Amino acid sequence: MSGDGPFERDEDLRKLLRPGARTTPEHDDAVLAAARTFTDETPVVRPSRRRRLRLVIPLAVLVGLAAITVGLYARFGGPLKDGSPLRSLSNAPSEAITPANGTVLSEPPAQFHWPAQAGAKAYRVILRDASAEVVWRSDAVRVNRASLDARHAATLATRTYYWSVEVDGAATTRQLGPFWFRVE
Amino acid sequence: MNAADTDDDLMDRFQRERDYAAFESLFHRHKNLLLCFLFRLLRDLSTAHDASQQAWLKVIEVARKGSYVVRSGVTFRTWLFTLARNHVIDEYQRKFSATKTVALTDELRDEFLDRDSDTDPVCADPADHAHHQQLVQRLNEAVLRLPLKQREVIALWAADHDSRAIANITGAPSDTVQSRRKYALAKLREALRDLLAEDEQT
Repeated sequence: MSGDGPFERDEDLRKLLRPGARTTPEHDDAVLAAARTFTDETPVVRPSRRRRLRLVIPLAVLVGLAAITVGLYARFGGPLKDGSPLRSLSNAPSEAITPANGTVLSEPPAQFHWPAQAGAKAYRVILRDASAEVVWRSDAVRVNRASLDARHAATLATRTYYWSVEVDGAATTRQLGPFWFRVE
Repeated sequence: MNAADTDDDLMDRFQRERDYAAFESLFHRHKNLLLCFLFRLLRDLSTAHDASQQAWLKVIEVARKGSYVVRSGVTFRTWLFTLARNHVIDEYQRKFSATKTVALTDELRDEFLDRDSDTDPVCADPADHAHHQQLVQRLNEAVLRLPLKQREVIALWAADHDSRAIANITGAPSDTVQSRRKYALAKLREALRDLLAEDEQT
């Protein structure tokens, strides 16, 4: 803005507005004392970004491996000891499962039954002993049940067994279980 | 401390090397401008001092955390004023409406308008000086009567911030800043009209 009269120009007004205010000594002392406290502090030695990464990455790898291990154990049972509690979460309701999870049986089960899974093309039952050795694997079946033949049933000793069902979908295979039962 | 040191250099030294002198230099460069801005915003010198102190303590806290970073297009001064303004908005917003009009008391005027006459060529002649002081007083009172949004733009502009920096600090678009400044300056000229008319007669 420009003009002939006084203060027609914005800059003239700005000059008038230029501050004359001054901070008080109390204000200055308080701020400078706080600054002094900071500068007198012993600096906290923070590891450099590279050093932090050097520490964090191996830790993250370890945590990842641990998570994978736990996941695998949860999914496949792992080398469980005889009589040990089930260490995985079942993703099927136990009432729809035969033999029911955690059942104690007087003889090996003749049949396995599980909830039908949407989109399933075929099922396969896998029976393992407590050391995770596969003791029986059913043929692929299209229905949600499978029979344990007498020949294999006769080989089962009085111990704990873990069974799971492989569910073949259109593109993926997933697993139900493992569930456990004990033959006494 | 080298006068050529930029604000960012000083802040960097304060943060990284805990250089007290760097902070002291930075503080003395900006403390009065910041106080003036806060006074115009808050219209109360004591509260402005408090807000200014809080803003500087925040600067120290940021340095302690090592979190001050130089950003392209944002000067230390812009950052400092933004920090102070945000603090004011958070802490003192309710007080804005409590003090609708403010006349500068003699004491406040002496304190607030305590300008160095040797740095102000308008003040060379005693008669001119009195007239000049009257203008300054009238102008500052008029600033304090502006609506908050115009007042903060004028206060920042008076503290030598350009439109871009003002837009950064206030979070308003540049066009809005220009418009607020335009309306505010019109009101300030209106407040000075009779004094300026006297000038023209003499």
